[in-house]
Amino acid sequence: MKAAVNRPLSPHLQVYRPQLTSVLSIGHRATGIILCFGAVALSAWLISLALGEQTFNGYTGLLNTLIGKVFMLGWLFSFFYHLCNGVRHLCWDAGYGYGITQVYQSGWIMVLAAFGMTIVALISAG
Amino acid sequence: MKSALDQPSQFHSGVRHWRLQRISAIALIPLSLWAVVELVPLPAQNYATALEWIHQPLSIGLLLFLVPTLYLHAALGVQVVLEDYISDPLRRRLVVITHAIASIGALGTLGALFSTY
Repeated sequence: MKAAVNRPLSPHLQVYRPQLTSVLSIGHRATGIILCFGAVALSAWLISLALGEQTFNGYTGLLNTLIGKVFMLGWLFSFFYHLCNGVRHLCWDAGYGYGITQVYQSGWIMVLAAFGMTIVALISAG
Repeated sequence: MKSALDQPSQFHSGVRHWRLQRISAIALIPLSLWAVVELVPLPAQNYATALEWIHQPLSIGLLLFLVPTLYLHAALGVQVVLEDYISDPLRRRLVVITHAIASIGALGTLGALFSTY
């Protein structure tokens, strides 16, 4: 059964050496899940606005606690990450950037852009 | 023998899912960027300012597109993750539940939006 031994293995995450490509791919899913909760937080903000001033003040008060701010920072970074990496995916779908050096290049550009946009947003938020 | 993988996904054929995911992604690039740019300074502000913002024609107009697109994109994404890691029959149920929650989320949010008038 020599052939079976040499058969390529599927990338079981537990034994696979992390690479930029795989880490960014997992990150895309992780940020996507995080952003689902961000969407709920945005809906809650709109619903609290509809429910009146007291509910709205209670909710924004919650968002402005330290824990609330940590969550908002997480959503903000996840948003820029998912946005930048999403554009990268759309380029691949259109057939561009498939070379191995290009994949790594766009990956690093994406990471820098996501951090940069988060910092700019934080500065503009004051 | 037919395996579970031969059967099409409950909600869409693979092509339809793929296409909807890309269309919603492209639509969300300007819509979500607009929302983040507008909302990053806003939650800290007061009720009157927020209400005034939501009643601007541009805000309500773009939110009407953003909210359903956002929840559709979220449900399609979660569906892919579920289909990758969970096997039938639980997978199918969870996919149905995911789309139901997303629809309720979108409709509830739009309802709230209208009731501010």
